[in-house]
Amino acid sequence: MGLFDATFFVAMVGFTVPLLWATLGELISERSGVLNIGIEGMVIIGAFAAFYVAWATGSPWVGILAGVGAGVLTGAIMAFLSINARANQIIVGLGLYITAGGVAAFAFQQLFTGSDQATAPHLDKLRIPVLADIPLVGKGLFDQTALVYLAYLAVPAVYLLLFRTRWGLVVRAAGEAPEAVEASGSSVPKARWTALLAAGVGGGLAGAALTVGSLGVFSENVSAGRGFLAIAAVLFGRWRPFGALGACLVFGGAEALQLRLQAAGDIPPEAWVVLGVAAVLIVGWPLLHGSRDPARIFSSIGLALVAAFLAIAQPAINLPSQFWLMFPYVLVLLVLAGLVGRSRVPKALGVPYESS
Amino acid sequence: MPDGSPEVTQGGRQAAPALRLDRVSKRFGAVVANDEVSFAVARGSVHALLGENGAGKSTLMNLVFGLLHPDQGTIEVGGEPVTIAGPREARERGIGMVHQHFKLVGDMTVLENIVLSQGGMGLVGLELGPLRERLTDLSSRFNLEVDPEATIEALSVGQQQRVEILKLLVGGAEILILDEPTAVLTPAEWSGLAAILRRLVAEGRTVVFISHKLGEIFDVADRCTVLRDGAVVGTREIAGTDKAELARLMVGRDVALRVEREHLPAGEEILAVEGLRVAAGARDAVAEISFTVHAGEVLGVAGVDGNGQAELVEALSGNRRFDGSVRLLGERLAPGSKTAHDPRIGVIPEDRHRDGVALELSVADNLMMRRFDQPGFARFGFRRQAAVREHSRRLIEEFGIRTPSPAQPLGRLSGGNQQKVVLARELDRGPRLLIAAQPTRGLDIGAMEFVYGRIAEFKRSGGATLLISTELEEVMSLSDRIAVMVGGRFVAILDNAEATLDRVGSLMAGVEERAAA
Amino acid sequence: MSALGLDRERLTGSLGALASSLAVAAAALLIMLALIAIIGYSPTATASAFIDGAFGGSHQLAATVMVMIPLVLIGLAWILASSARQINLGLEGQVLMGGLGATLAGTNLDGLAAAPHLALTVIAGALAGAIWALLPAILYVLRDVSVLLSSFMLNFIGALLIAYLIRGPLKNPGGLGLIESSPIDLDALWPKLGTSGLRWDVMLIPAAVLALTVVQHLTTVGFRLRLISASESAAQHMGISTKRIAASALLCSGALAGIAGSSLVLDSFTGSLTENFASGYGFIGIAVALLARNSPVGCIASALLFAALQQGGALVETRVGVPSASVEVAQGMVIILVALSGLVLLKVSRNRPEAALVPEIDGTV
Repeated sequence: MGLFDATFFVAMVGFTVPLLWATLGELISERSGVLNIGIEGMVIIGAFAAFYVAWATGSPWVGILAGVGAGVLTGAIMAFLSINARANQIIVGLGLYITAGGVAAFAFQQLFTGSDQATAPHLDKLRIPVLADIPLVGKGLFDQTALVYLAYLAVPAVYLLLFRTRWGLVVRAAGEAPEAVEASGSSVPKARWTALLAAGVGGGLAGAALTVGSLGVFSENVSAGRGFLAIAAVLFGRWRPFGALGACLVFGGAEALQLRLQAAGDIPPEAWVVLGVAAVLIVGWPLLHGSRDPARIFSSIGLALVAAFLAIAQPAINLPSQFWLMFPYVLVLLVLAGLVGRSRVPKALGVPYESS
Repeated sequence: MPDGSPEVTQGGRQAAPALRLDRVSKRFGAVVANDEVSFAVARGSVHALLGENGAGKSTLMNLVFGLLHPDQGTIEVGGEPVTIAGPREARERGIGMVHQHFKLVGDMTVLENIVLSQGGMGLVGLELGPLRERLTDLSSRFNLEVDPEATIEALSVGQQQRVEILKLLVGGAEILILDEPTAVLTPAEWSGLAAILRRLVAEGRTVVFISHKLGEIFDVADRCTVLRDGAVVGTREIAGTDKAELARLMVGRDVALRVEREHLPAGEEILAVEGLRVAAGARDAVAEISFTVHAGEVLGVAGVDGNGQAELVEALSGNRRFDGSVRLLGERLAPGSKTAHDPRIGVIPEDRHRDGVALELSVADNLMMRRFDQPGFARFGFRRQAAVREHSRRLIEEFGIRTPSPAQPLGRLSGGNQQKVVLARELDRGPRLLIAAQPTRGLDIGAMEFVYGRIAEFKRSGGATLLISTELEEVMSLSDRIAVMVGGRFVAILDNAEATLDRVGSLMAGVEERAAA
Repeated sequence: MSALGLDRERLTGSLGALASSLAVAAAALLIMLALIAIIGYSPTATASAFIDGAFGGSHQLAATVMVMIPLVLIGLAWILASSARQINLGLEGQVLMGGLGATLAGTNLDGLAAAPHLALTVIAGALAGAIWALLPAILYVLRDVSVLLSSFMLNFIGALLIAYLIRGPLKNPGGLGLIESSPIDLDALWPKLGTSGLRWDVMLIPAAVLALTVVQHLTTVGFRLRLISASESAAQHMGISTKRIAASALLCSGALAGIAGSSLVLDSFTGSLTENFASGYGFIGIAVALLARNSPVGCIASALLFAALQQGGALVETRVGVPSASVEVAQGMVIILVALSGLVLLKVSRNRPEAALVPEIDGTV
């Protein structure tokens, strides 16, 4: 029974998609210059709102709308505090994260105390014929809920929004050179407001995906830091939409892998191969873009050789699940240290804008 | 005209001026930036706004551009009074501005920047195709060649400026305002820009040009309005005036007699620089400079801002890496922060607020910032408060620093007094070499004369001074020898006797080539 | 007064800051009460349960004070890092590592007398916290990497590391299936102070506050920090190596957080390392410092508020039935109100410049 079978891909997509929603939202926000630490709060409160409204109305879709609404509301509060009130972005984000988490937990405890586990109606999986029959990945990719399919569309949509519309141009400029935006007559606060509202949509959808889009249950730990992981994914994906997709796939894959390996015993050869390929891709990515750095070439070859050796030798080792879960954060550290190519941080990220 | 400026005529009869300001005023709290400014700009002409740093020129033009709003007065465009609420309205009125610090997005392309400048935040496409065509057309018409797909960061400063001008032209600007356009250009690039401006004007556009450099104004302008301390002191036709008159208007008194310069016999060699090279990114900001400064002498460095002066100061004061040999009193100095601690060098930095003082800290703290961990002021890591107080009391008295108490935060002091604190602190250590960069920038007359007096006193006591200033008159009054810095090189080092305003000015413009003295 | 570098203007500025912090605290509490009342609980019952829970008897008071210990230390850690212009969001991870270090020293050093064992345990905690701040510091010095982001990532890595360790190598062999480490030697714990539940690590509060205040105002090290805080560029021009100082400040910040972690573990109910022993202290500690407007002495009062919220909130849940998550909501609101109040102070300061002398961190990444 292979490690990377259909079940693996189902789990991987399941982990990736909620993260992807939050990542896309955070991406837009950071591109406009706002480091939105409150994204975790948006996910939690989106999750609860979706859960509660779906439970109360009996309709998962109404619940999803509520989740989006809650996320957007949080985004609006974040926007007002950090843009209009010029409060420090980090502090406000932190405060919103704690408050939103508290509100969601409070409401959950208040409304659902009691021993019965409340379940809200959740989305059914929609199977796409033909495509779902593709071996290995078919079930994972094409036998999923509507929120998953929406996420597939969201990535290119965000790309088009950011890079092919005026709105996207202004938003990106607001995060790089806000003075240029102001001189053109457009409003930096407006650009950042819309970006934060978009982040709220992403966070809300992420939360909805975790409850209504999954099993329809809510717990106070339903997000488990996914919002913060989204911040890591934005960084890892170099602030680009398709990079964000790649980052979320890597992170989601690591989480799914960790689950499988718990039961698998020693690390099987196919895992080494996949890890090796992933490592070489990550380290060697700049080589595909014209870099000729010898250190990079050596390390890529070295990693490939090590992975091949491990796949053949099959040493009897297994990493505890926690170490697999650490991978996303370690990867981000590597990116920050510049070992994975140079990162281009939006210049105005985190800096409140004072108009002249 | 009521303000003494000549009537604006075109083709023999009076036409509505492209732009007219009538008693425009603007204050920021207690500071009056513009005081009832009135003048008119004729269509199809180049009109210069002349004034020293801080005279209110940029503020005034930002009022026209809509980034700021006037408290009083009217602005007329084409004879019609207008209210310009923001850059978008300015653009609709045909007004565009190129700021001193470019408003460009570094990691976007030229084309994207131009699209951005058109405004609009809708969910609509970018339509780069038609724009690219317009761009190519305008580029060739006005000699503003630039690659539309190039990233701004990859362009030279001169090319970036072209992008800024193209932004205005694409936007259909009839009135182009340029704020200190030559602050970042080489002399060669300036001739290029001057030609472009003449071309624009020949096609009927109007250019308003802010500067504090006389030479450039005489190069391209038809008319010039002189501002001083926020108010108009006169408007003149360039053809009917000369540099001396404009200079006099700008400063308000006869410039040349500001300071009595003593000529002292040259003492020992204090600073010897050979082959100094300072890199700034890909290019060399300072390219192989050699010079000496002796005790009892002031070596002035004249030049247009942006020709490597800042880098030169940073390298010598220990804040930047350099190649080449720098010897202080015969001893080689290593590049790096050790020099910053060297008590033999005193530095008055160019950007006093950012680099020279800590506005939040007290006057006393600022006065002993150089020595806070020295034995007299600290013991076992603890500061000796009594010593700090005594030290500051002494310096406050000696330098006449006006402050209610030594514990007053420095930010509350006037600019002149803040500079006194810097001077006091630097001179207090008894340095042999004083590096003074733009020492009188932003100071009133009284403070300026104090600074000049201290520099003269330092010189008399045997100190060596390296004076770097963009104020040509200042350099020429104070310096015994004058080096002219162009493009990171000293194109000449002249004795004060041989340095006339015209000669130095021409050297700065890159006109004459002479081997360094 | 002038010996401490104070003057009337700075005092007025500090009083303004104090007033605003008190206003924020009061506002947060009142808003919470109002919300609770709207939902249907009795505000008077809630308020009285809150006060009883936090201050109701010597045991309750002692418990509240014990919670203050890590909060004050973490708040001071934040202040120290921000005085060197660093945003140390990794405090949570440094606290966890401090607990780990303390556990390692507390369970493995047999045969030592009580006092040295305790001392080594605390030192181990400080060291572990500092080590956890080492990587962000190095990345900052060598590659200008944002400390905010790098230290933040290490929080998660640290939590996962501990999760692994207490299920694996450090697992309690004699435990009843609980997820925890072996208990720390009894003699390595902080001895009790009195009978109400206080322990001697309470003394860490005044000691640390005094130390930081003295350093800030009376030493050359403190002067360097104040200079860097006021103008990084001017400090560099004075030849001060701002990066090295920032790195040192980060390490010390981590050490303080580590000591906080050691206290949390040593004073814990089980006397062992458990999974979520730090649960959010790393962030609440930041809130403590923010409410105190970066004043070390102010951290004591600020920590008292947050500790009271936690302790009082627990009793409110038991007695009145308000979900304990209300504490979280209150904490979050305090943070938001502090952020807002900074703006109010700034507006006020346009008329009275001295009020603007309150230190603020800037938000650059």
